[in-house]
Amino acid sequence: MIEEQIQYSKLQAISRQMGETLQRISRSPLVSQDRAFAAAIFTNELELAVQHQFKPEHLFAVKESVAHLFDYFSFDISDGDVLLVADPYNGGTKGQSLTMAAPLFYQGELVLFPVIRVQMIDLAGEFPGGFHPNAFEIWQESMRITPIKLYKQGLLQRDVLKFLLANSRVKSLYEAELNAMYACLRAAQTQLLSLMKHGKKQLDHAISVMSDYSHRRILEQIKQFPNQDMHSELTFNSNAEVINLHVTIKALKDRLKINFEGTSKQVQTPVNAALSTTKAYAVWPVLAPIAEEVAINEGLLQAFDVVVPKGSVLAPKFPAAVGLSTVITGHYIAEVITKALKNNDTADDLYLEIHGPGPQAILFPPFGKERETEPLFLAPGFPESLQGWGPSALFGDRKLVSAEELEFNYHFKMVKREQKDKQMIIQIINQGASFDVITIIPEKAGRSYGEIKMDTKENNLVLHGSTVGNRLNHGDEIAFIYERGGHQ
Amino acid sequence: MEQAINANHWVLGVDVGGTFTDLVVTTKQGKLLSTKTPSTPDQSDGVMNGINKIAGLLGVNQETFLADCPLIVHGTTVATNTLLEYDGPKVGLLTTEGFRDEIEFRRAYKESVFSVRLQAPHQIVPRRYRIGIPERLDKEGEIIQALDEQAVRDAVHRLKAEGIEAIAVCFLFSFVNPAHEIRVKEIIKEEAPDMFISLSSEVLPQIREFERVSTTIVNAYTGPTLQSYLNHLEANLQKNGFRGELFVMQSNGGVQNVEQTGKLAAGSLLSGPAGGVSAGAFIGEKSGNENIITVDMGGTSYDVSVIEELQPTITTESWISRYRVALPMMDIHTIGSGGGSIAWIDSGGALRVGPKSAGSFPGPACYGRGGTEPTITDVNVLLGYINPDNFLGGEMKLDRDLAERAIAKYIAEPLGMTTMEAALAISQIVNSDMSNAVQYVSSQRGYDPREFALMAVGGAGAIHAGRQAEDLGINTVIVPALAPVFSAFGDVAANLKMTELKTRFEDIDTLNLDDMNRDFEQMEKTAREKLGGENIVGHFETHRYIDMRYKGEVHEVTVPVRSRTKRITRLNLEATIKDFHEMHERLYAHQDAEQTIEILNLRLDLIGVREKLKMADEPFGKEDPIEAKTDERIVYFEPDPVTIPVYDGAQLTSGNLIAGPAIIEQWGTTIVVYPRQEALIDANGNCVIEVQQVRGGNQ
Repeated sequence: MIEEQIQYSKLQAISRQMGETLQRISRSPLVSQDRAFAAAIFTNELELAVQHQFKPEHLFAVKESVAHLFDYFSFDISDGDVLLVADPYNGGTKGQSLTMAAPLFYQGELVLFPVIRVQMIDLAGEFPGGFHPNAFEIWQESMRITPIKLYKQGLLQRDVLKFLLANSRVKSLYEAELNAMYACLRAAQTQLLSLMKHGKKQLDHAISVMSDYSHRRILEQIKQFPNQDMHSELTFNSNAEVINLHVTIKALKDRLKINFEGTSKQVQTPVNAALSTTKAYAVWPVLAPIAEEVAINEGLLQAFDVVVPKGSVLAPKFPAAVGLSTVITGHYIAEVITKALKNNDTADDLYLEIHGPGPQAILFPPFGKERETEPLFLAPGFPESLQGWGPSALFGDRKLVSAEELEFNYHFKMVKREQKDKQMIIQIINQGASFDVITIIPEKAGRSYGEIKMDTKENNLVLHGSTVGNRLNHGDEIAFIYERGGHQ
Repeated sequence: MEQAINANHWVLGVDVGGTFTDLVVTTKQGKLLSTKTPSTPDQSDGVMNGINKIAGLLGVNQETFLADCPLIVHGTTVATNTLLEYDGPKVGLLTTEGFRDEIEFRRAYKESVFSVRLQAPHQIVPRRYRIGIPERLDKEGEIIQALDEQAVRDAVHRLKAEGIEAIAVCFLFSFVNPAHEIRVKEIIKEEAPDMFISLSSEVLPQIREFERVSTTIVNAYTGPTLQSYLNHLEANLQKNGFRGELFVMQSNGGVQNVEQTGKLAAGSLLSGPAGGVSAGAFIGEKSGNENIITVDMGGTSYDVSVIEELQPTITTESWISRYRVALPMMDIHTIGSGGGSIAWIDSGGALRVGPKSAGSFPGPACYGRGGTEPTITDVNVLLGYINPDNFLGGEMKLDRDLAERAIAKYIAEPLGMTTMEAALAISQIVNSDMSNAVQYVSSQRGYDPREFALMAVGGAGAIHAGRQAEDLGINTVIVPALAPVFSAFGDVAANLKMTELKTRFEDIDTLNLDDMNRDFEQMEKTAREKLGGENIVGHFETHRYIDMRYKGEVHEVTVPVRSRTKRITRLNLEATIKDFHEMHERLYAHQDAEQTIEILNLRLDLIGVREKLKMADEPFGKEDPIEAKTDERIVYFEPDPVTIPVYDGAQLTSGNLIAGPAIIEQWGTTIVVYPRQEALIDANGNCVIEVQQVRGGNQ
């Protein structure tokens, strides 16, 4: 296994570097600051060789989006092609997250393909940025990009590009993101070619051995579970809807079965979770204790069998809206899983709570007036994790905006960012033109996940749920309150 | 290496490490003399012991030596240890009201992003000592809320009553207008004249409050201890006849006087390693290699840094002891692979090495001090690379049987291998980890390692470097003659350097050139005032840089300004913009000439260039190294053993050519010349290994 470990470590380094480079060259705060992306490398057999992610939501979406791409183009993939897909009903999580794959050919044969998946700044939908608290169908959130080729045999498909850009409210940034993703994939291809010189067979073998290794490692975790069903349930709210999540976890010899039978049917709000979202947040609590020791690859993913009733809130039927699932529902999925694991004594110490949803806002100038309308995604604080230190594990690698940069770039004056008791409080005054505000705040009876206050000339609002339609004018204040681990 | 010389005007370099204090003396004739002495709890004792020892080697007494020594350059770990061990003084923070927790929020930086058990960093300024002061500037530096001076006085009284010894001050937008911070400094001086004061506008006048407050706090925390140490050392030296100037190696690779170092202690956190990188550039130039990757393998870690065209790369993204230090520093990437790193098998059956280390006590199993787990040193003993009877020149005996037992028990038996197979496997893993680190560092900075020479220092660096060179496709490995005292040598070779910085947050299209030139002029003037060193500097050089990025990016690229004149012209600026696009392409395989470019900071390095250190070249003698051959030894490069010659490094002379496989032993360093490699002793005694790329490099 020594040679395989060594070969594989070089593959891991290429995948990691793809992600790190993207983060450095991206001009979108969703990537450079929020780190809402993942990078991966697949084999020609569509097996996940290695994946690096900076937010949990992409855990299954990269693989499943790529599977859709290759189903569609199965006999039509050439050297130099670059493929795109962004569709929650084609393996994705939400419409604004785009998967780009660049098949790599070596000596005339498809050998590997690096992939990047990124939350884009804006692609159609009713509001800039794709978050729409009242959406009931997917087109309100974004355009669906079914599998398409951005490059064919190395040639940019200008018609495709033009079509995509024409449907973004932030055309220049969208184009810059596509270019950045493409640059990272090309650089990864060059490095992979260098690695291929040592033999494809050896590399394939290394990938296979290390996939088995990850599988073994995760099964070691699963073995610690009792040989009995572990149940739990949880209720949360979305607008007027009351949603029940129900899970049964069973440790089998070769996998962990996570069954969501009994979960509420899909709802007319965007907290429905696409299947890839559900799987990611269901698996992450089990993975979190060893996430930094074990490579994410095919062997790891195969150790999980997530069963979700079709038509439920966790596997809705097309065309249900799903846009808020990664910022709200995902946290509840993780919570119900952790609760089930903690319901038995043996796992009590191992599986700590990893969720920690908090309020965030999307601000944009009144749209329909300018050629470009760039949304500002504002989550200037974080709910501290209940155990350990810092933001919760589901917060990912997101970085808080600097008060000074916020004022320089967006004319928002931060007047406070401090803790008080178990809360983190951030107050911001708009010193520029008017902004429309969408708020996203998780809701659950008997528990607060924070709030957003808007102190405007017209009124003072205290928001505990997701809203749309409020306006922040010059001189108005918006405050974010984050509760540590959710306040009982 | 140690030979008596008869010349005065010695220049002394002293580097204090965890175990040894290294000293190098140079003369104007280019002779070098070096020695080591054990480090002491009060580092100045070790320094004085070392000076006494080296004076003895020169045949003079300490007073005579010091009286004839116009310059001592010192690499010290006082600031580093203070931060690593969290034993600095009590520090208070005065900051803009509403922002006293920024240092705790850390912009959500978490070393292990998905960890649920990560503990909070030690708070060097506990919350009760962080006080918000009513005041506010806007982004233009305009005062929109006046400084509440009474609140400052009250805060200082409170902190003073709590026994606070140093106060850090960091207000929002103080990098645009430092007026409030300066006024606070005046008030603190009135209320608490002995207080150490660290202003963010002096330490790091650049945008982003977390990075600024963290660096300013670190400066306050390390400053008093470093200042006191340096004053004590200087007084001690002067008491013993020293009339010259004492300078301290800085993290940016330059040296500064005691006064400036004490004020900006955070700037000397990498004082020791920076000396090594400076030495790398010097040896690179002497050996005709402008592009060098230096690797330093010590007991617990493996440090990698890149020197391009003789210029060490600089970063502003350092974290030390879980604190962000955003000052420009030598870009040294560290992984936990050192001689003491422990090999182990994880629960999935994979063989791992490090980051857990046996340290120096109990140390590797072969030390015989009770360590039972196998380490890299144990592996190198078992494979025959390290001579157990001649470790540290025979000062310490190693136990090969204990090494073998540890590897057998913890690795070979669980994996079903022979002990020798297990040792080779551990060696392969650690070589791969180190090669990956070199690859990471070079490709992160847009370099191809094959275009670089690998310079190996540290006790075990030259054992592994030959393998890494093969793995990375590198053709040349250099093991400097002064490797055991490399940082001290770098101290002697370094120039004076002062870095000034000014934030200018604007689009390049709207940049006012006259304004920028005025800023650069002012920065140069300030740097000149601070730099000092008139007695030892030959001439001054000014290097100007602009931090640039495409609008929207959060990471900037520091681009040198190409200008032969004091004033930067429009043409110069356009050339700099072109360079930015090209650097961006090299770093990230991506450029966009259509995109708006944003300027973040202006940087200026004022270099006080000292007289070039002379190293006398030895004429090439015989090619045959037979006179230095001391032994033959069985070693394992593969499971089958081979018997190879062993040479005494001290007896090798310039021009000796050693065909691999072979081993060269010298005090503190063992060099392994692998099969298909050839080592030449160059005119300065450096061992230059040419590597035949039969594997073609793995990268």
